[in-house]
Amino acid sequence: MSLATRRDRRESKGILHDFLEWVGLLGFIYGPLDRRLSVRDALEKALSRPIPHISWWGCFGGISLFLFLVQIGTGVVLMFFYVPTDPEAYHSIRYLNGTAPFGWLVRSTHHWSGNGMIFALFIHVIRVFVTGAYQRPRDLNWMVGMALFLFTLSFALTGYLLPWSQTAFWTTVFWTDMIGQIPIVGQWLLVLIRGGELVSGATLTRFYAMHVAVLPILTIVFMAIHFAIIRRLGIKEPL
Amino acid sequence: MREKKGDHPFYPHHVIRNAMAVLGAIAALAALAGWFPAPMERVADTLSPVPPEPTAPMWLMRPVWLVDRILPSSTLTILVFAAAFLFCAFIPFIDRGQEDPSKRRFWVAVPFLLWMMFIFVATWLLPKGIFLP
Repeated sequence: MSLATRRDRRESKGILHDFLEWVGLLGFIYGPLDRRLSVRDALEKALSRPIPHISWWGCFGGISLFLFLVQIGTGVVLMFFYVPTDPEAYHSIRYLNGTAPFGWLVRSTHHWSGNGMIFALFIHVIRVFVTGAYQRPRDLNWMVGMALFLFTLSFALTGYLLPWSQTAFWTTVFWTDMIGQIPIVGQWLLVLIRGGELVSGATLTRFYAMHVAVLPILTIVFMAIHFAIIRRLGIKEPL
Repeated sequence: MREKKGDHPFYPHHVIRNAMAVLGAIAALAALAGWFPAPMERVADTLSPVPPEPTAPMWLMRPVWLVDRILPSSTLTILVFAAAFLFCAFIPFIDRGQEDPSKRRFWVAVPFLLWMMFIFVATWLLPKGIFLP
Protein backbone atom coordinates (compact mmCIF):
# COMPACT_ATOMS: atom_id res chain seq x y z
CA MET A 1 0.00 0.00 0.00
CA SER A 2 1.45 3.36 -1.00
CA LEU A 3 2.12 6.15 1.49
CA ALA A 4 -0.52 8.43 -0.13
CA THR A 5 -3.25 5.75 0.09
CA ARG A 6 -2.45 5.09 3.74
CA ARG A 7 -2.64 8.84 4.51
CA ASP A 8 -6.02 9.08 2.71
CA ARG A 9 -7.44 6.21 4.76
CA ARG A 10 -6.21 7.76 8.00
CA GLU A 11 -7.80 11.11 7.11
CA SER A 12 -11.15 9.59 6.01
CA LYS A 13 -14.05 10.47 8.37
CA GLY A 14 -16.66 8.02 7.07
CA ILE A 15 -18.25 7.27 3.70
CA LEU A 16 -21.00 9.93 3.88
CA HIS A 17 -18.57 12.66 4.91
CA ASP A 18 -16.23 11.70 2.10
CA PHE A 19 -19.10 11.57 -0.40
CA LEU A 20 -20.39 14.98 0.62
CA GLU A 21 -16.86 16.33 0.46
CA TRP A 22 -16.54 14.98 -3.08
CA VAL A 23 -19.78 16.42 -4.40
CA GLY A 24 -19.86 19.67 -2.42
CA LEU A 25 -18.23 22.83 -3.71
CA LEU A 26 -15.96 23.03 -0.65
CA GLY A 27 -15.06 19.39 -1.18
CA PHE A 28 -14.14 20.14 -4.76
CA ILE A 29 -11.84 22.99 -3.87
CA TYR A 30 -10.47 21.98 -0.48
CA GLY A 31 -11.29 18.31 -0.20
CA PRO A 32 -9.89 15.09 -1.59
CA LEU A 33 -9.80 16.31 -5.17
CA ASP A 34 -7.61 19.20 -4.10
CA ARG A 35 -5.29 16.84 -2.22
CA ARG A 36 -4.86 14.80 -5.39
CA LEU A 37 -5.00 17.45 -8.12
CA SER A 38 -4.00 20.68 -6.31
CA VAL A 39 -7.07 22.46 -7.72
CA ARG A 40 -6.72 25.39 -5.33
CA ASP A 41 -3.08 25.96 -6.26
CA ALA A 42 -3.93 25.83 -9.98
CA LEU A 43 -6.84 28.24 -9.52
CA GLU A 44 -4.75 30.67 -7.48
CA LYS A 45 -1.95 30.55 -10.05
CA ALA A 46 -4.39 31.10 -12.96
CA LEU A 47 -6.33 33.93 -11.31
CA SER A 48 -3.29 35.86 -10.09
CA ARG A 49 -1.47 35.67 -13.45
CA PRO A 50 -0.34 39.20 -14.43
CA ILE A 51 -1.94 40.52 -17.62
CA PRO A 52 -1.32 43.88 -19.34
CA HIS A 53 -4.08 46.45 -19.05
CA ILE A 54 -6.49 46.11 -21.99
CA SER A 55 -9.32 48.43 -22.95
CA TRP A 56 -13.00 47.55 -23.44
CA TRP A 57 -12.14 46.65 -27.04
CA GLY A 58 -10.29 43.66 -25.61
CA CYS A 59 -13.55 42.17 -24.31
CA PHE A 60 -15.03 41.29 -27.71
CA GLY A 61 -13.25 37.92 -27.92
CA GLY A 62 -14.81 36.99 -24.57
CA ILE A 63 -18.20 38.30 -25.74
CA SER A 64 -17.94 36.07 -28.84
CA LEU A 65 -17.29 33.07 -26.60
CA PHE A 66 -20.22 34.00 -24.37
CA LEU A 67 -22.55 34.37 -27.38
CA PHE A 68 -21.35 31.00 -28.68
CA LEU A 69 -22.37 29.45 -25.34
CA VAL A 70 -25.78 31.17 -25.64
CA GLN A 71 -26.04 29.70 -29.15
CA ILE A 72 -25.39 26.21 -27.79
CA GLY A 73 -27.95 26.62 -24.99
CA THR A 74 -30.74 28.04 -27.16
CA GLY A 75 -29.81 25.74 -30.06
CA VAL A 76 -30.31 22.64 -27.91
CA VAL A 77 -33.79 23.90 -26.92
CA LEU A 78 -34.62 24.59 -30.61
CA MET A 79 -33.54 21.03 -31.51
CA PHE A 80 -36.35 19.64 -29.33
CA PHE A 81 -38.91 21.26 -31.68
CA TYR A 82 -37.23 21.48 -35.07
CA VAL A 83 -37.91 18.87 -37.79
CA PRO A 84 -35.15 18.94 -40.44
CA THR A 85 -37.20 17.78 -43.43
CA ASP A 86 -38.50 19.69 -46.44
CA PRO A 87 -42.21 20.06 -45.68
CA GLU A 88 -42.04 20.04 -41.84
CA ALA A 89 -39.12 22.41 -41.19
CA TYR A 90 -41.10 25.60 -41.77
CA HIS A 91 -44.13 24.36 -39.83
CA SER A 92 -42.03 23.26 -36.85
CA ILE A 93 -40.52 26.76 -36.67
CA ARG A 94 -44.01 28.25 -37.00
CA TYR A 95 -45.21 26.07 -34.11
CA LEU A 96 -42.19 27.04 -32.04
CA ASN A 97 -42.71 30.73 -32.79
CA GLY A 98 -46.44 30.83 -32.09
CA THR A 99 -47.50 27.98 -29.84
CA ALA A 100 -44.59 26.59 -27.79
CA PRO A 101 -44.20 28.46 -24.47
CA PHE A 102 -41.46 31.10 -24.81
CA GLY A 103 -40.50 29.52 -28.13
CA TRP A 104 -40.38 32.93 -29.81
CA LEU A 105 -38.00 34.17 -27.10
CA VAL A 106 -35.63 31.21 -27.47
CA ARG A 107 -35.66 31.56 -31.26
CA SER A 108 -35.14 35.32 -31.12
CA THR A 109 -32.29 34.94 -28.63
CA HIS A 110 -30.68 32.36 -30.94
CA HIS A 111 -31.19 34.70 -33.90
CA TRP A 112 -29.71 37.78 -32.22
CA SER A 113 -26.86 35.99 -30.45
CA GLY A 114 -25.86 34.51 -33.83
CA ASN A 115 -25.81 37.95 -35.45
CA GLY A 116 -24.11 39.40 -32.36
CA MET A 117 -21.43 36.72 -32.46
CA ILE A 118 -20.49 37.68 -36.03
CA PHE A 119 -20.50 41.37 -35.07
CA ALA A 120 -18.35 40.77 -31.96
CA LEU A 121 -15.98 38.60 -33.97
CA PHE A 122 -15.58 41.35 -36.61
CA ILE A 123 -14.61 43.84 -33.88
CA HIS A 124 -12.29 41.28 -32.27
CA VAL A 125 -10.51 40.65 -35.60
CA ILE A 126 -10.17 44.39 -36.28
CA ARG A 127 -8.80 44.97 -32.75
CA VAL A 128 -6.24 42.17 -33.14
CA PHE A 129 -5.30 43.54 -36.55
CA VAL A 130 -4.91 47.17 -35.47
CA THR A 131 -2.80 46.26 -32.42
CA GLY A 132 -0.59 44.04 -34.60
CA ALA A 133 -1.20 41.05 -32.34
CA TYR A 134 -1.02 38.75 -35.39
CA GLN A 135 2.76 39.04 -35.69
CA ARG A 136 5.20 36.36 -34.55
CA PRO A 137 4.96 34.50 -32.21
CA ARG A 138 1.14 34.84 -32.42
CA ASP A 139 0.92 34.18 -36.18
CA LEU A 140 -0.36 30.63 -35.72
CA ASN A 141 -3.08 31.88 -33.36
CA TRP A 142 -4.20 34.47 -35.95
CA MET A 143 -4.65 31.65 -38.47
CA VAL A 144 -6.56 29.53 -35.94
CA GLY A 145 -8.71 32.62 -35.32
CA MET A 146 -9.34 33.04 -39.05
CA ALA A 147 -10.47 29.40 -39.20
CA LEU A 148 -12.84 30.13 -36.30
CA PHE A 149 -14.14 33.15 -38.21
CA LEU A 150 -14.78 30.92 -41.23
CA PHE A 151 -16.62 28.39 -39.03
CA THR A 152 -18.79 31.20 -37.60
CA LEU A 153 -19.74 32.37 -41.10
CA SER A 154 -20.51 28.73 -41.99
CA PHE A 155 -22.73 28.53 -38.90
CA ALA A 156 -24.63 31.57 -40.16
CA LEU A 157 -25.02 30.26 -43.71
CA THR A 158 -26.09 26.74 -42.73
CA GLY A 159 -28.39 27.95 -39.93
CA TYR A 160 -30.04 30.54 -42.16
CA LEU A 161 -31.58 27.86 -44.42
CA LEU A 162 -33.11 25.87 -41.56
CA PRO A 163 -36.43 27.81 -41.24
CA TRP A 164 -36.98 26.99 -44.96
CA SER A 165 -38.34 30.46 -45.66
CA GLN A 166 -38.33 32.37 -48.93
CA THR A 167 -35.25 34.53 -48.18
CA ALA A 168 -33.40 31.57 -46.67
CA PHE A 169 -34.05 29.41 -49.73
CA TRP A 170 -33.00 32.02 -52.31
CA THR A 171 -29.98 33.18 -50.33
CA THR A 172 -28.82 29.55 -50.29
CA VAL A 173 -29.51 29.21 -54.02
CA PHE A 174 -27.41 32.36 -54.56
CA TRP A 175 -24.32 31.42 -52.54
CA THR A 176 -24.25 27.75 -53.53
CA ASP A 177 -24.47 28.88 -57.18
CA MET A 178 -21.39 30.99 -56.43
CA ILE A 179 -19.60 27.90 -55.09
CA GLY A 180 -20.48 26.18 -58.37
CA GLN A 181 -18.49 28.87 -60.22
CA ILE A 182 -15.16 27.87 -58.61
CA PRO A 183 -12.88 26.66 -61.43
CA ILE A 184 -12.35 22.86 -61.76
CA VAL A 185 -13.91 21.70 -58.45
CA GLY A 186 -16.95 24.03 -58.43
CA GLN A 187 -19.59 21.64 -59.76
CA TRP A 188 -18.35 18.80 -57.58
CA LEU A 189 -18.53 21.08 -54.49
CA LEU A 190 -21.98 22.31 -55.51
CA VAL A 191 -23.39 18.77 -55.59
CA LEU A 192 -21.57 17.90 -52.36
CA ILE A 193 -23.03 20.92 -50.51
CA ARG A 194 -26.55 20.70 -51.96
CA GLY A 195 -26.82 16.92 -51.92
CA GLY A 196 -27.87 17.10 -55.58
CA GLU A 197 -28.15 19.56 -58.44
CA LEU A 198 -30.77 21.76 -56.73
CA VAL A 199 -31.41 23.17 -53.27
CA SER A 200 -33.85 20.64 -51.80
CA GLY A 201 -34.70 18.61 -48.71
CA ALA A 202 -31.32 16.88 -49.05
CA THR A 203 -29.62 20.28 -48.71
CA LEU A 204 -31.66 21.00 -45.59
CA THR A 205 -30.61 17.69 -43.98
CA ARG A 206 -26.95 18.32 -44.83
CA PHE A 207 -27.01 21.87 -43.50
CA TYR A 208 -28.72 20.70 -40.30
CA ALA A 209 -26.03 18.04 -39.72
CA MET A 210 -23.30 20.61 -40.38
CA HIS A 211 -24.98 23.20 -38.14
CA VAL A 212 -25.63 21.02 -35.09
CA ALA A 213 -22.81 18.44 -35.24
CA VAL A 214 -19.83 19.10 -37.52
CA LEU A 215 -19.35 22.86 -37.03
CA PRO A 216 -19.82 22.86 -33.22
CA ILE A 217 -17.18 20.11 -32.82
CA LEU A 218 -14.73 21.90 -35.13
CA THR A 219 -15.36 25.23 -33.38
CA ILE A 220 -14.85 23.81 -29.88
CA VAL A 221 -11.60 22.07 -30.91
CA PHE A 222 -10.23 25.22 -32.56
CA MET A 223 -11.37 27.39 -29.62
CA ALA A 224 -9.44 25.10 -27.26
CA ILE A 225 -6.31 25.53 -29.42
CA HIS A 226 -6.92 29.31 -29.62
CA PHE A 227 -7.21 29.69 -25.83
CA ALA A 228 -4.27 27.35 -25.14
CA ILE A 229 -2.02 29.50 -27.35
CA ILE A 230 -3.28 32.72 -25.71
CA ARG A 231 -2.64 31.12 -22.33
CA ARG A 232 0.88 30.09 -23.34
CA LEU A 233 1.95 33.32 -25.05
CA GLY A 234 -0.12 35.81 -23.03
CA ILE A 235 -2.12 38.81 -24.29
CA LYS A 236 -0.21 41.25 -26.48
CA GLU A 237 0.59 44.51 -24.76
CA PRO A 238 -1.29 47.52 -26.15
CA LEU A 239 0.54 49.83 -28.58
CA MET B 1 4.98 34.86 -16.50
CA ARG B 2 7.13 37.82 -15.50
CA GLU B 3 5.17 40.80 -14.14
CA LYS B 4 5.83 44.13 -15.89
CA LYS B 5 4.96 47.70 -14.92
CA GLY B 6 1.25 48.34 -15.57
CA ASP B 7 0.25 44.66 -15.40
CA HIS B 8 -2.78 43.63 -13.35
CA PRO B 9 -3.64 40.25 -11.87
CA PHE B 10 -6.27 38.39 -13.93
CA TYR B 11 -8.57 38.41 -10.87
CA PRO B 12 -10.29 40.72 -10.06
CA HIS B 13 -9.39 43.27 -12.79
CA HIS B 14 -10.02 41.30 -15.98
CA VAL B 15 -12.66 38.99 -14.52
CA ILE B 16 -14.81 41.96 -13.45
CA ARG B 17 -14.28 43.82 -16.74
CA ASN B 18 -15.26 40.74 -18.79
CA ALA B 19 -18.20 40.00 -16.48
CA MET B 20 -19.48 43.56 -17.05
CA ALA B 21 -19.08 43.13 -20.82
CA VAL B 22 -21.02 39.85 -20.66
CA LEU B 23 -23.78 41.51 -18.59
CA GLY B 24 -23.96 44.23 -21.26
CA ALA B 25 -24.26 41.53 -23.94
CA ILE B 26 -27.08 39.85 -21.98
CA ALA B 27 -28.92 43.19 -21.70
CA ALA B 28 -28.48 43.86 -25.44
CA LEU B 29 -29.68 40.32 -26.29
CA ALA B 30 -32.75 40.62 -24.04
CA ALA B 31 -33.63 44.03 -25.53
CA LEU B 32 -33.20 42.87 -29.14
CA ALA B 33 -35.04 39.57 -28.63
CA GLY B 34 -37.89 41.34 -26.79
CA TRP B 35 -38.35 44.35 -29.07
CA PHE B 36 -37.29 42.86 -32.39
CA PRO B 37 -38.26 39.15 -32.40
CA ALA B 38 -36.84 36.97 -35.18
CA PRO B 39 -39.11 37.43 -38.22
CA MET B 40 -41.39 34.63 -39.42
CA GLU B 41 -41.28 34.85 -43.21
CA ARG B 42 -43.21 33.04 -45.92
CA VAL B 43 -42.47 29.40 -46.68
CA ALA B 44 -39.99 28.81 -49.52
CA ASP B 45 -41.48 28.34 -52.97
CA THR B 46 -39.10 25.66 -54.22
CA LEU B 47 -40.97 25.04 -57.49
CA SER B 48 -40.46 28.56 -58.83
CA PRO B 49 -37.39 28.91 -61.10
CA VAL B 50 -36.87 32.53 -59.96
CA PRO B 51 -37.89 34.32 -56.73
CA PRO B 52 -41.66 34.97 -56.99
CA GLU B 53 -41.26 38.32 -55.21
CA PRO B 54 -38.41 40.81 -54.57
CA THR B 55 -36.15 39.02 -52.11
CA ALA B 56 -33.15 40.61 -50.39
CA PRO B 57 -30.31 38.23 -49.52
CA MET B 58 -29.38 37.85 -45.85
CA TRP B 59 -27.19 40.72 -44.63
CA LEU B 60 -24.06 38.58 -44.55
CA MET B 61 -24.31 37.78 -48.25
CA ARG B 62 -25.08 41.32 -49.45
CA PRO B 63 -21.42 42.33 -50.02
CA VAL B 64 -20.97 39.16 -52.11
CA TRP B 65 -24.16 39.91 -54.01
CA LEU B 66 -23.04 43.50 -54.69
CA VAL B 67 -19.54 42.48 -55.85
CA ASP B 68 -21.15 39.85 -58.07
CA ARG B 69 -23.26 42.56 -59.70
CA ILE B 70 -20.18 44.79 -60.26
CA LEU B 71 -17.76 42.18 -61.61
CA PRO B 72 -18.30 40.59 -65.05
CA SER B 73 -18.42 36.95 -63.85
CA SER B 74 -19.27 35.00 -60.71
CA THR B 75 -16.00 33.08 -61.04
CA LEU B 76 -14.14 36.36 -60.63
CA THR B 77 -16.32 37.26 -57.62
CA ILE B 78 -15.54 34.05 -55.78
CA LEU B 79 -11.85 34.37 -56.62
CA VAL B 80 -11.83 37.95 -55.26
CA PHE B 81 -13.41 36.81 -51.99
CA ALA B 82 -11.09 33.80 -51.71
CA ALA B 83 -8.08 36.10 -52.34
CA ALA B 84 -9.33 38.61 -49.73
CA PHE B 85 -9.75 35.85 -47.13
CA LEU B 86 -6.34 34.33 -47.89
CA PHE B 87 -4.76 37.80 -47.71
CA CYS B 88 -6.27 38.28 -44.24
CA ALA B 89 -5.29 34.77 -43.10
CA PHE B 90 -1.68 35.14 -44.23
CA ILE B 91 -1.14 38.73 -43.06
CA PRO B 92 1.38 37.60 -40.39
CA PHE B 93 3.63 36.35 -43.22
CA ILE B 94 3.20 39.57 -45.26
CA ASP B 95 3.63 42.10 -42.46
CA ARG B 96 6.75 40.81 -40.70
CA GLY B 97 8.40 44.17 -40.00
CA GLN B 98 9.81 44.45 -36.50
CA GLU B 99 11.67 47.77 -36.71
CA ASP B 100 8.63 50.10 -36.94
CA PRO B 101 5.47 47.97 -37.07
CA SER B 102 3.07 50.92 -36.84
CA LYS B 103 4.30 52.40 -40.19
CA ARG B 104 4.20 49.08 -42.04
CA ARG B 105 0.84 48.29 -40.56
CA PHE B 106 -0.62 51.51 -41.97
CA TRP B 107 -0.10 50.26 -45.55
CA VAL B 108 -1.53 46.86 -44.76
CA ALA B 109 -4.41 48.50 -42.88
CA VAL B 110 -5.54 50.67 -45.82
CA PRO B 111 -6.99 47.85 -48.02
CA PHE B 112 -8.29 46.08 -44.91
CA LEU B 113 -10.20 49.14 -43.68
CA LEU B 114 -11.48 49.95 -47.19
CA TRP B 115 -12.80 46.39 -47.37
CA MET B 116 -14.51 46.80 -43.99
CA MET B 117 -16.10 50.06 -45.17
CA PHE B 118 -17.37 48.33 -48.30
CA ILE B 119 -18.89 45.51 -46.24
CA PHE B 120 -20.58 48.08 -44.00
CA VAL B 121 -22.01 49.99 -46.97
CA ALA B 122 -23.12 46.82 -48.78
CA THR B 123 -24.66 45.36 -45.63
CA TRP B 124 -26.55 48.26 -44.12
CA LEU B 125 -26.99 50.93 -46.76
CA LEU B 126 -28.24 48.84 -49.69
CA PRO B 127 -31.92 49.31 -50.43
CA LYS B 128 -34.27 46.46 -49.54
CA GLY B 129 -36.24 44.56 -52.13
CA ILE B 130 -33.45 43.69 -54.55
CA PHE B 131 -33.92 40.64 -56.67
CA LEU B 132 -32.27 37.29 -56.18
CA PRO B 133 -30.55 35.52 -57.83
